[in-house]
Amino acid sequence: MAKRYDVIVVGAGPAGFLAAKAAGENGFNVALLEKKTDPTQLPRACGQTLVSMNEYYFGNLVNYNPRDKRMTFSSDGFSFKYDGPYQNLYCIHMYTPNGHRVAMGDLDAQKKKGDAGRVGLSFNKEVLFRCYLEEVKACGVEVFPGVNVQKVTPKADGVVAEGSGQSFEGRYLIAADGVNSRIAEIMGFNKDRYYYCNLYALTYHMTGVEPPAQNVITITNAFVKDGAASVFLFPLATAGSHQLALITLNPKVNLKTTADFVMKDMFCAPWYKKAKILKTLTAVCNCYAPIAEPYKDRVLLAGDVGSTQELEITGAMVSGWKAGQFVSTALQEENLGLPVTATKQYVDWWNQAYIKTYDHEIYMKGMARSLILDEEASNYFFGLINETLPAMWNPYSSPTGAVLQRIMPVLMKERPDVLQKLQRGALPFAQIIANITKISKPVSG
Amino acid sequence: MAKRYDVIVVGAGPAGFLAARAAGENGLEVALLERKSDPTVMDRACLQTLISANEYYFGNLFQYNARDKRICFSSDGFSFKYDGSYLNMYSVAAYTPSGHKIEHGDVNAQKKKGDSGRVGIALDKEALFRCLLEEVKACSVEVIPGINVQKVTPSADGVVVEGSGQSFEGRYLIAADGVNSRVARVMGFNEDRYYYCNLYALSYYLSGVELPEPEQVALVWAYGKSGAFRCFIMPRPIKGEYYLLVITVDPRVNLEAGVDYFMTEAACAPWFKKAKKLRAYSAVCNCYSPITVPYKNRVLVAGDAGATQEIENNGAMISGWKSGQAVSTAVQEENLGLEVTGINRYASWWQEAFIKAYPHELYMTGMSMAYILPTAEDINYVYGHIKKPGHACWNPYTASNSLREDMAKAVAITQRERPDIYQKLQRKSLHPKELLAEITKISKPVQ
Repeated sequence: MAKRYDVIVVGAGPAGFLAAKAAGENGFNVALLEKKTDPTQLPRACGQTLVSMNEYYFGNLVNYNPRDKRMTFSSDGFSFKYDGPYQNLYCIHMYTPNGHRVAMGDLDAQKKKGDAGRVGLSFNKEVLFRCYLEEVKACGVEVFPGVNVQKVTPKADGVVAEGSGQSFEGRYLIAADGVNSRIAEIMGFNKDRYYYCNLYALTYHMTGVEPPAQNVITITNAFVKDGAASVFLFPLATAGSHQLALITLNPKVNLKTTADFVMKDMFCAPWYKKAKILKTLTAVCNCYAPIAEPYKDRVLLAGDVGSTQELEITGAMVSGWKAGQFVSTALQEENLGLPVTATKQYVDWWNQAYIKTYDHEIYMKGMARSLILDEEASNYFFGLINETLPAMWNPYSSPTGAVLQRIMPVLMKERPDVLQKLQRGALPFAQIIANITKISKPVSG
Repeated sequence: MAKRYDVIVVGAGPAGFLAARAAGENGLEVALLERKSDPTVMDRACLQTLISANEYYFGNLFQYNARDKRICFSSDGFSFKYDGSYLNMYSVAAYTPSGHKIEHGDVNAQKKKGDSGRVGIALDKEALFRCLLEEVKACSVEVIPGINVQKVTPSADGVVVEGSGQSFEGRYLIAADGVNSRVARVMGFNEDRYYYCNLYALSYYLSGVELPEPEQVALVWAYGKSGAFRCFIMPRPIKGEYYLLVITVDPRVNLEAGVDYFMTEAACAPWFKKAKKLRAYSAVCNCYSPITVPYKNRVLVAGDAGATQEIENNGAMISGWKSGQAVSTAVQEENLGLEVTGINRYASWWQEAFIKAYPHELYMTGMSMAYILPTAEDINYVYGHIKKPGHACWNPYTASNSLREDMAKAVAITQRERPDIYQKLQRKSLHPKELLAEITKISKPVQ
């Protein structure tokens, strides 16, 4: 008979690793199942190689302790080793398609503040995974790579997970298998979720990129024949290397030719003259409305699984840690014959910290700016902004609030047509994205 | 100029060590000051060598992870190494002076449940301190032993502490200097607290004790020649050793003579026929009402320093950890120029998890039995009527809950048969201030 675990964690990403670590430290028998044969590799495009740091996010001010090489979350009281390279990122430069720069944060002023001036930190995700793997192994977690979970069967007092010819039984299961979670799908968590679209991503790891400013995240929109893509360029953890990331919600956009356009024909083409592509990665993510009840039949959801597109690295880490702790408490409550309260506590936490705090529509609209303002309108509108906006790296907060009040009268007078387009931004996201939804279909994990 | 720390923690007990560890892990510069020259040595009588394990306490279900040797608090999400020896204790038995036993948990039934049946684990506190010392050193805490803090001076953006000829400056200070906290006193935290009395403790490590149930904590009410006291006897997690602790709030009681009486003449004297005393320790603890707002002028109070007599191991560990995290959040908020919320969250947590959840009056009434039923005969009579075991637990605030029904019956019988004792029992509803008034008059806080 197969060994029965206390907890099966599916997916060795930031959420899954931390869930496993929490349950392992509490003394439970944990199996961590990962689809990849090497959990420390990152074979797909990932935008979350930077962590937001200068404001509360998911209830925590994330910090990095360089002395002891730990990433820390003092509000929820946990931390873990990260001994890889990192770079501080001090501000964000948004560029209009014709090259006008809108700064979120004054680079020099932020830099002067040192670590307190960074909006975030870029780190090496493969090193992070290596550190996590060491941490979970140190607390007795059994890691099973190469297991692609295909089937999940809840029972009265446990869950059976099957995949890649193996079967695992656990008292609880934590699904941390990412944005295209198969577990969420087969457990029926997606039935009531609104499906918006997919997010397509293409990233290049590069050397030799020469942007006008260092330690800055740059964002622009590239408009091409079939649509548009958001373009991010940010330093990777190792100095001298960058990640160029293109994302679009429009399946008709060819990201490869769009990347060529960015590097050869846009205002930023000179930055890429000496650039070399080291690595090319892609990804497709489902964009659903989030799951409000991340628990059912002894299965908890953590990280991107229950979120819209993604929970960001901070949300993934905090929710993974919480899921592991709450499952530990639930197991202990069961062992002691007490009423089980912990799974409900996790659901309540998820609702307070995520669903009620972060409106997923704002997140999605941020990805869909090109559907609201076309190229010309975007050039005109952002061209009006010359002041420095607040320094932040948080997809749920709008940095343009105060500025909008100033330029509103100008818009009304000069370009009522642009104002009208802008106002479409207030529509429900489902309406804004309707044409894309029609031609999209969820991918299966 | 002296180095300026982010946080100075005073006192390397369970609260102070965990406060230092939390702040250290978060990257703060931490100085941990300890009066003793060796923080791993226990040089006084300690009531807290047992950790309550089978019910929620301070918001957490304590768990021991025997595989990885970790003490865990999963609700607050922290754990730490403890690789010392330990013993499961499955039940608690209270004995009247005549030897009638009132059980909290049936030992055999609890034992069958394995680890889930334990009311707590007895641990080796010196091993615990050694583990915690290793943990704080691993996150760069500077441990400075031999510092007896005498003076604390808050400034606008920090705190200076002085003692043993040295001076330390920090942005914050965590006072974890125990029940007789000097930091609390010099900072004026005690001004609004009601002073009840002192608790006097004498303890022995013994060999050769023959307990009726070796995996059960025995608690005996004793009425000696000089007054009443209570005794706890349990095995130590070191083979062949036992721990005997006697406590009283009455300064007139001679505990040494009490122990002799207890071991040779009292109903449980046979347990000690072959007993040998290995080591003796003593302690005197102030009993105040708790500090309700554990923060002032950049000084946070953690552990026993803010409690009535003591906050138990669970409370000390959790409040220490929480205070270290709260200071870490506050320092980061200050660094980022954000509004400081971390400290208030700690103060709110203290209110919810301690002040409101565990009324200290209950704890003090538990210490006042001799001022309700002043003779051995009284207590033998009333408690002799309680026959059914209560639920298994080791928690001074909840232990009597499951005896309530039987106690009500005992009171009814007493009212009928012994109105004289019934009249005394009526005093139980008095506030401990009144119960202990006579003791308060003849007591004085220790410094």
